[in-house]
Parts: sequence; structure tokens; C-alpha cells
Amino acid sequence: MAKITNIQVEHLAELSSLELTSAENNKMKADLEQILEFVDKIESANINISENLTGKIKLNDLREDEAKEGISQEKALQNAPKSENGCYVVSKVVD
Amino acid sequence: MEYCELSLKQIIDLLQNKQVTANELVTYYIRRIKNFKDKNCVLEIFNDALEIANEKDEYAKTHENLPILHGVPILLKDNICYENHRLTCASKFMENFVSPYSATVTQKLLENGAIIIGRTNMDEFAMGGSTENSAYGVAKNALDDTKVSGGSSGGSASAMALGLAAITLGSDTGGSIRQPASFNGVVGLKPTYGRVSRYGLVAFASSLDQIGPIAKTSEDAAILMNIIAGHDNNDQTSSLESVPNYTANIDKDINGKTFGVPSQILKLIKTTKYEDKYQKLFKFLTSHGATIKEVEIPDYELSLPIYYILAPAEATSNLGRFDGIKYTKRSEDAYKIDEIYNFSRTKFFGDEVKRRIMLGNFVLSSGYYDAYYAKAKRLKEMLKSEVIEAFKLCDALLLPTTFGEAFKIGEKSTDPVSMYAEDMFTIFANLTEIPSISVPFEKGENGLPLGLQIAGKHFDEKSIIGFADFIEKNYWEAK
Repeated sequence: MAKITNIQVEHLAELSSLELTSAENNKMKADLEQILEFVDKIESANINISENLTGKIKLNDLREDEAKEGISQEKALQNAPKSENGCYVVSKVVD
Repeated sequence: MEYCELSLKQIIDLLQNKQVTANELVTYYIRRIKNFKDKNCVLEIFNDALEIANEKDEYAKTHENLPILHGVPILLKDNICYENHRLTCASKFMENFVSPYSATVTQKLLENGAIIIGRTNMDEFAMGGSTENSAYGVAKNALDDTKVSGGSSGGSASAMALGLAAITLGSDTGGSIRQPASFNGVVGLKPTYGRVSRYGLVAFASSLDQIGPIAKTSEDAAILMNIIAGHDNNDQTSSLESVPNYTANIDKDINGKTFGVPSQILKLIKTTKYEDKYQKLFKFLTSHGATIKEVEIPDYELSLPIYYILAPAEATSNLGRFDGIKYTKRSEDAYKIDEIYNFSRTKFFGDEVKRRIMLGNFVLSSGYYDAYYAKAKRLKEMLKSEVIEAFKLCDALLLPTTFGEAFKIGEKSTDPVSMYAEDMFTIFANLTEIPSISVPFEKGENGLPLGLQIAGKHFDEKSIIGFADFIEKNYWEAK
């Protein structure tokens, strides 16, 4: 069974920009272990394909590199929780 | 007249022949949405809908050639943008969000004369199979208040079954159109990956997401596909493949067609307690000149594990943009810059979303990336090549949409893995990028509908819509 430590869960929370209480950490640990046990089935799977068998769909056509109008500054900022003079307002980053 | 009993096609005919006004229709549906408020499948009725209906009616007075969806009331899943209208993805984080532009599908609907009357409930950020993960309360099954509507497009499917719009749109990353369509007894189509533009759909897992119709009939789904399918310069993954007429196979027979059933599915069907119902259907299809053939998709059973590695990995990345700065709410307690990110995300994301972000970061993190993400990515390609092989032997694949009827509200919400297993039959179409439609074909032990899934070759929506139409008219409705 997949084992995860509480320290690993803390690290994942940091990577995820989430904060967990210790009860939430324990619950998350149990959930993740259960999910990983279930996805671990891929561990024993053999990969057996050649590149030409992957049936790629033709995608990624590129349009001409022409300047096009995007959304306006006003529209881009309309959903910001704080904005001023056409900028997002955030906290001071350097002391 | 009870418009809720009419198909999209019939409603279009009434509007085109000026036998009903857009105002009458919109007024009717708004009243009906309010009457079914307790079902909680519609999050908001847009307050400009009636005004737009009046404009449509004015236009119709002086014009003869009306666009095909002229005056047709439509509901959108709450993750598809409609300019200057609210969109929340059923999340508290997006509570105040107003779309700055319309999704390409929305734009196409509007250009064809449709009226968007509101937005439907869903699992938060489309993560879930029951709409119980909505921050705005569970959307109930159209046919039974104690049962889930399915998910994540539960609101759209329940609304469609209740007749709250002429047609609805959903999105499907692992079964989110087909499973709720099955639970509510309506038709749901997930198109081929790249068939419908994703521009303006809030991304969950970008390599798997597709927008598609949830409709009363297969023909209605085809009518909508004729409008929304096609290449879009704003979506790099949308395909240049030409768009056929999706209604071309309506009212066709199935004589000479071969339906493949994966051998694992034949085994799994035996565990669903509805084996006799599938056997009866197979006999019916055979009696109409079709052949049922067992086919091999050797790694079918890896679908779920592959999905629950790839989808959270992509979700982690896509949800990184929700930071409390650009377009979401911000925690009032945040002062330092890290606090803006951490406090806002912690406060406003729901539990399932957090679980998937954490899981995604795990499978992408150093030391685990190769064993999980990279391997799952290659297995996805392998599964796709197996499906392409299987389609050399058949015209379409038949699978159940779900194990059974809609389950009870609360029954699976505390066990993530049993909820994930809900997608057992549907995920494989997303991973292999093929189109798949769910059509009601039987009733289960509690009298609730069961959906049959018909999956087709890449870009062959036309055939599976035709097969679904045949089963709907000659098997389901004939009962």
C-alpha cells in the first residue's frame, strides 16, 4: 500500500498554496493513500507501443502572426478584487 | 401548451413558423425554473433574457429568414462564459466573477439566434460525479428528490429532464455529460477531443475536456452539434477536420452494422445486476440486422488509474491561476503576498478541489513524476492505439454509461474512491479522445433510467448519433 508521511502532505500543501490544519492533514493523508493505492495499478502495466501506432489527431495549426485586439484593460481588471489606475493591487513584496 | 414536452426540433419549428413568440417561450421556461427551484439545478436566471426575447420577436416581425436557433431558450453549464454575465463554476472562489468575453460555443449559439436564459449547477470546477461538490448545494435528480443528478453537469441534465430549457450544454472530462444524462433519462454527447472549441470553457483537464449537448433527443443533440462543432482560431487544439451534417443519420436503420463490446465490459456487465437487460438489447439489435462482436481492448481496466493521475495533474496546473489577485475573491485576512495566495485558496476552494490539487502536485513532484505522470501519459497513448485497433472490427462500441441508476444523495460523498469508480465506463472515451453518446434504453430496479453508451471512431459523431436515435425511437420509446 502506498504510504505518505504527514511531512509529505505538508510539502504538497505548500506546493499547492493551501494551508491544512493537523486534522485536515491527517484526513488528506488517508485520502491520498487510498487514491494512490487505487492508481498504483499502473505500476505493473507494460508499455508496448510504437510511435506510429498512437493515431495522432492532426492538430496545432498556427494562424498568421498578425496583431489582433485582445480584451481591454478595463475588462481584464473587472474581476480583480482590488485594482487601481489600471493595475492589480497586491501587498508589498519587499520590506 | 406544455413546451417542456417538446423537442428542440419541435420548438424550432414553432418559432420558425411564428406559432410561438420568444417572449412566450422564455416566460414559460422562467416560470418553470422557478417552480422547480427546490431541485437546485439552475443557479441563476439571467435577468436580460426576457428583454432579449422581445428584441427577437421585434426582429421576427420584419424578417422572413430567421436564424436556426432564433428565440430558442438555452441553459449553459456554469463553466461556459457568456459575456457580461456571472459565472462561478459552482465555487465560492468565483462568486463575483463576470465573464469578460463569451466562449466560442456561446458566441455560435448567439449568432444563430439563441437566448441564453441562465446557468446550471455543477460540481465545483467540474470535479465530481454527483453535483454534491457544488458550493451552492446539491442539484437533485429530475425524477427523484432523494437521488443525485449525477455530475459534474448534473444541473444541465436535471434541467433538461425537467424541461427547463429547449436544450442545455455541459462539459465532459471523464463522463460529466454522459453520466448525469444517464441518471436523468436524457441524451448526452461528448464529442471527439478537438471537435468543439474549448475557448471560454473554464479549464479543468485541458487534454480531456470537451463541451457537448445534453438534449431530449439524439436528433436535438445533432442539431446543436451542427452549430457548435468546428475549428476555432482561439483554440489551438480544435480540429480542422471538416464538419459533416450530424442529422444525416437520423431515422436510418442499423442493418449490417457491427457493434463491438469490449470483453472486459461483457464481464463487468455481469456485475451490474442488469445483465439480462443488456442481453435483451443485444438480441434486439441483432434482430434488426446488426452484429454484436466481442472485441479486445487489453488495457481497458487501466482507464480509471490513468485518468486519476492525468486529470488531477492538469487540474493542479489549471487551477494555479486562481490566486486571489486576478479574478477571484481575496481572503480579507491576507496581508503578505503569500497570504493572499494561501489564505484565499484555502478559504474558497472546496474539499474535493483541494484533494485533486494535492494529488496532482504529488504525481508531478520530483521523484514521482516518471512513475506516475509520465507513465500514465504513455499508457493513455497505448490505450488509444488499442481502441483504434478495435474499431477496425466494428462501427461503434457499446458500453453501459453507469453501473446502475442514480444513487442516493450522500451515499458516496464521503468516499472519494467509490465516487471516482462512478466513471468506470465513461473515462475511457476521454482518454482515447473518441466521441461517445449516452442514450436512455432501460429502467432499473427503482424505475429510474439507465443509459447506454455508444462510442464511435474519431470524428464519427454522425454514426453514433444515428445509432442512438435508432435505439431511442425503436427500443426506449417503444416500451
